[in-house]
Amino acid sequence: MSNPTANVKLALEELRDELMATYDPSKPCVTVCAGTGCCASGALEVKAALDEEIKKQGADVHVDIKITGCRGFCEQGPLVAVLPTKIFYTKVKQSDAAQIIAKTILKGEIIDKLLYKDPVTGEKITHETDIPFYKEQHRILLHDSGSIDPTSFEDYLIVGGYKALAKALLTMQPVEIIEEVNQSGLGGRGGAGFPTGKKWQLCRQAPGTEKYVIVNADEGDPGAFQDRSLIEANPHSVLEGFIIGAFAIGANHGYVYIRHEYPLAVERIKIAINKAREHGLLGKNILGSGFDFDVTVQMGAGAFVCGEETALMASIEGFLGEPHARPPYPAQSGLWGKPTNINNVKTWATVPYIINKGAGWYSQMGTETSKGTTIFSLVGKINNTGLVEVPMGISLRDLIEKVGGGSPSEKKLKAVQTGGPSGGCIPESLWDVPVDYKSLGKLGSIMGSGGMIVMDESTCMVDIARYFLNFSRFESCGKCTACREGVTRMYETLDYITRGYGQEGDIEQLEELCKSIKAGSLCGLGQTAPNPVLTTIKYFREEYEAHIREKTCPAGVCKELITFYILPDKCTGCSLCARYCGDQAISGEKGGLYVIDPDKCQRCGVCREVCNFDAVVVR
Amino acid sequence: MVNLTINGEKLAVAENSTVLEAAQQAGIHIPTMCSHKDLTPYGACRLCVVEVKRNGRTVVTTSCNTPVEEGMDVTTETEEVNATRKTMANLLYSRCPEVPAIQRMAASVGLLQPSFENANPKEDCILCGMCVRACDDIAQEHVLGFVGRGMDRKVTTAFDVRQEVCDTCNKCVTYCPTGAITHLEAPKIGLGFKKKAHTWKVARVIFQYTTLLVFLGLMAATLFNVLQPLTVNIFSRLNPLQALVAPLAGRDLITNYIPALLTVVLTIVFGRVWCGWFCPLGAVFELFGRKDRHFKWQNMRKLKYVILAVIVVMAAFGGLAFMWFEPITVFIRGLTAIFKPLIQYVQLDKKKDFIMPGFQWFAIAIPFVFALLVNIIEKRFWCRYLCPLGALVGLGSKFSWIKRFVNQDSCVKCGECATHCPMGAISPENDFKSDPAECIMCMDCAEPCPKLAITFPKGQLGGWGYEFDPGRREALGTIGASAVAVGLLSLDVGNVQAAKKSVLRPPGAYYNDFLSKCIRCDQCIEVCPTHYIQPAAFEAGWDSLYTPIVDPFVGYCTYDCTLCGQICPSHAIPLLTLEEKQNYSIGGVGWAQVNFDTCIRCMTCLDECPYKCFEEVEVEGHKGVFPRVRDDANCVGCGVCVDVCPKQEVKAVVVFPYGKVPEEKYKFTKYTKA
Ligand SMILES: Cc1cc2nc3c(=O)[nH]c(=O)nc-3n(C[C@H](O)[C@H](O)[C@H](O)COP(=O)(O)O)c2cc1C
Repeated sequence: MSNPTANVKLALEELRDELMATYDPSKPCVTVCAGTGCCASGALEVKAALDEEIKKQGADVHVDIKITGCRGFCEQGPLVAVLPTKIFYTKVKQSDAAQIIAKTILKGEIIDKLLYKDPVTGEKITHETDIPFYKEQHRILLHDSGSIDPTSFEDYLIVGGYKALAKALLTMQPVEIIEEVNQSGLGGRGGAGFPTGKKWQLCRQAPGTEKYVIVNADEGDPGAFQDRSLIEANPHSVLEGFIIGAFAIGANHGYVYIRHEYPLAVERIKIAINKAREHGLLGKNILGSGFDFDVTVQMGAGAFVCGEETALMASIEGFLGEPHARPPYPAQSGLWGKPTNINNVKTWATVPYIINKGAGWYSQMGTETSKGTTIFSLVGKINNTGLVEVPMGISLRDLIEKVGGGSPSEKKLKAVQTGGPSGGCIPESLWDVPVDYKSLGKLGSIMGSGGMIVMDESTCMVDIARYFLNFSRFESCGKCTACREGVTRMYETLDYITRGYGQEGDIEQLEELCKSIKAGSLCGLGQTAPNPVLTTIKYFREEYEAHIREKTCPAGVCKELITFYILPDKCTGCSLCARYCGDQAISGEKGGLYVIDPDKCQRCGVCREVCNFDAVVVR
Repeated sequence: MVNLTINGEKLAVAENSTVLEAAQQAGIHIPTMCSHKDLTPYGACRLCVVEVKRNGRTVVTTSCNTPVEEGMDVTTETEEVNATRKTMANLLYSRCPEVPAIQRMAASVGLLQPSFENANPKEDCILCGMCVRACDDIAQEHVLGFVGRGMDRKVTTAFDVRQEVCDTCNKCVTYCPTGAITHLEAPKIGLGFKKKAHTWKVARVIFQYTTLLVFLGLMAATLFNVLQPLTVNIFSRLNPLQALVAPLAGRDLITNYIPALLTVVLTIVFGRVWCGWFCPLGAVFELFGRKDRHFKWQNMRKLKYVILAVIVVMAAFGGLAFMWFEPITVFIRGLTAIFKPLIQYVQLDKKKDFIMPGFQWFAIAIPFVFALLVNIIEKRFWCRYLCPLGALVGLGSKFSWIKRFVNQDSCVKCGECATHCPMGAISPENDFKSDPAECIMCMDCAEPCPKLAITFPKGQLGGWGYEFDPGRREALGTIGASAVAVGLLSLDVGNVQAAKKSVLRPPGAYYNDFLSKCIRCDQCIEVCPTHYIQPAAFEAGWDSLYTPIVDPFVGYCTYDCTLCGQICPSHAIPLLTLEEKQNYSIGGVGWAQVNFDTCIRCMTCLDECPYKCFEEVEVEGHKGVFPRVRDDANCVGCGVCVDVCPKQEVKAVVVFPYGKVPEEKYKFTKYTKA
């Protein structure tokens, strides 16, 4: 594409140069993480306190302050980092503001009590990059999350934003872009890992001039929050990738489909879009390339199934959010019956990096079949819960034990559930597998959108399966028999089992159902909903059998199957449990032995929690 | 054209076809419950799964919404496909365990019991979405849609507000595979249809019971003699069976029966409405008994044709021996047997004087009681299996202009209609159609039909070809039974001829071809104010069962009464003026004769005889003066003399049928006062 303005310095670049000229990288900057997690633990109050202290102590000239998107280490929030030294304070309170300004900013001292303490070594760690949680990660998409103000266009420019857009639009042909993405081996981050380049190509080749592109930011899995964090932290990166993709595909209109339960993300992407439009990065003749593109933000009502591409498009069109059969694929007949390309937030956000650094750079990360990095939300029974970005191919064990920091208690870790309700449980014994689409698929699980729930001995696998199926049964759109009826029936069977009504043959019936539902379901929801059941049966069959045959719950979770019992040799007769018991089920003499009346006991477990001598056990 | 392989068979189908259509074209059956040729494929039920190989990939997918592709290889039954299909069937069956269409579908894939229990076993919607698509594609109304997710999904209108168009449009109804469509709570689909059907049903019920009340009113009027007899016998006169056989057997045009033509016309237009709308006995049967079919030998329904045919054949030979089986007579006799004595008892001043009638009297109610008893087996058992009148109007209904019609495009064979049919006329074996000869046009089946498939349209042809059509066997049965009956009569088995001559008949009947006209309705007995007319058992021959005979030992003929002749619908008892009835050669019953051996010469008969028939005679070998009926008297056999004769056990005066008056045993001479 010959461009008359190609050798004229772009206004964009001029702005960048201007900004860079005034930007002093050595000037201290206090960044307050304002991801949803940190906000919940009081980050905004901390920011206000810091602002006040800066004024009070007259530090304005010495320091900048800004809020950033999620830094990922939500467990330890609110997080405050001081740039450029990357001094990293965790669990900061309002009352700490004065000290941070007085000591760290003005004097360069480190406040010991706010530092992160390694739970394993007990060592205090000063710098963000030294914390094991971050050390083991490979942050590309999340690289700038902690340093830029998500509402600031300028911040994004300073870190090199929209360079890729200029490069793509002004120096590359659409086919070249597609080829580059193809070469990079980028797979869709929405869960299935379908090669993004191939998908774009199909859409580009589809006949017709009216085409659409969509950002899928519906993210409905319980426990997953990467897309939201990414948009909240760095919305421009998503937008940049989106515009490049639209250009490559030949679409002139795009939709960002985002659930309305993410108001902050909605706000930030809208700000980003407006800023981009102001600077001529959206609208007519972008960067003088002759390419027109604009974006509409469409809010979803928060149905999991609306993350499925065909349902999502139906929802945009104003119809009931239910999937339809493919073919026709969206690339043939998508939104409003036109060729449409839909990608996940992370997929779009990866594109600028590939354009900037090249397909070769990207494809050297990861495994044979899965390239690049991916983001997980690590939650459950581990020390470091939060958002992590790791290269594909890292072993589950490294991910959980090194990045995640292992179990926070004495209890042994037992399994990890990947991919949320659509994924499966992988037992500890198999954690040496590399994390990529293929390997997880082989184990009966999926990458999915990247939720990862770590479970220890105190988790009942039947109960976990029941929990996920409960989610799926309510989130099934109800269109097809397999999913609507089948998932409900599976849930019922699991519910019976956890309540002690399991019968011989239930496991086989479940397996049978799983198989048919996988084969018979219309969309991915039903096709993957049996995964939690299948994998837990596969790897933890003995737990099912214990529930069914012995009517016991080995993990001590299923209320109907457990009894609380006070060990006589451990009980000191302190009476604490009896005082806490809401059902007056515990009786005894102070100083003597206390006993639990199983008929009165409601199995709430409060006695076990309050007992200081571990005398209360579950049998 | 696109070339593909289905189950190893190569075929070419039109572009844009689906795999399901291609399979159907190849004659391969794939079960489905959510696809229809008129509607856009949807893929909800998942029953139509097949295995598809294309571009080296093998997937199990639904055939209804998978477009054919060049070189595709489809297998409609593999282990996985069958297992998946069976599970889908199981899930649907578990959702709607009581829907016959689902039960059949499940059975067709080898599933006889659902594996799971549904909290609401009455559920009948499988959420196939056909109605929603019909509303969009066919009706273009866009009022129906899905709301809710997962198990909470349901079909309804926006905000559950009923839409007026749903009262009448009904385009979706045809497509619903289960019948749930008209059960949807908010949309109230087909309300207009149902309201209309309900109105007809209510109209019918009102009409039917009004008819019953009118009938009972006429009965009461007869019993109390308050109405003109010509109106009280209207149910007989409208009766086409009586109108057919009485003139046939009596070889006489009986003008009384002209109203029956109206029934004929009604039957030809509306079918067997006589039974469903008019017949008072039918109305009684409607009050209890089980609907639908329960009796094992349904084929016995053809028996009624044999009964009818035998009656008609007998009539052709001049006999009406089995007319006591005619339903109106059955009902009249049943009521007469009970109410006549009852009223008499109530009216008596001295209850002591009441004489309880004997078995022979109550025997006239046997058919009525029998008909009520068998009604317990099945509602309208009589009408289904036995009624000769029903058989007659039934045959007429086979040609009727209006008939019950089941729209087979809509019918889902749920059988709901059959459970409402008081006649059990609806045949589960024959697509829930009904033989017009069995259908009594009660219209009870239209409203409950969830598919609004049942209508009563005009111009329906084809009344023949149903399961209970009378056939050769019935013809043979008729010939056999009629031959036996006619044979017995003509061979005079049981001395029928002599027995006939030995009884007294009501006034004027003696001079009439009485037995060829009497339809055994016993209304003469009912109306006779003095109980002079009584029912016969077998004393006048077996073919005279329930015919009226007069019994001077019970009553007498009132001098100025001609009610029996007026009420007789078939003129078996001739309609006489008072003068005619009082003339023994026109309206006579018989001749009275005094038995001189037992007469106590009280002369009460001589004093009381309204016709002044008696003279005084001296009898050879007897002392004193005796009463005797003059040879030239106008003795009509009214029986007053017998009635007043004080001898209790053996009356001293007896009425004999004309021609049966015995010779005087003793010589006598007329006594003249000295
Ligand atoms: C039930 C269901 C839920 C889904 N939810 C999401 C989602 O929340 N976000 C997403 O990006 N993709 C989701 N997907 C995957 C999309 O259908 C689609 O594959 C994806 O957006 C394609 O983008 P990609 O190629 O970048 O992965 C979901 C799929 C299913 C079946």
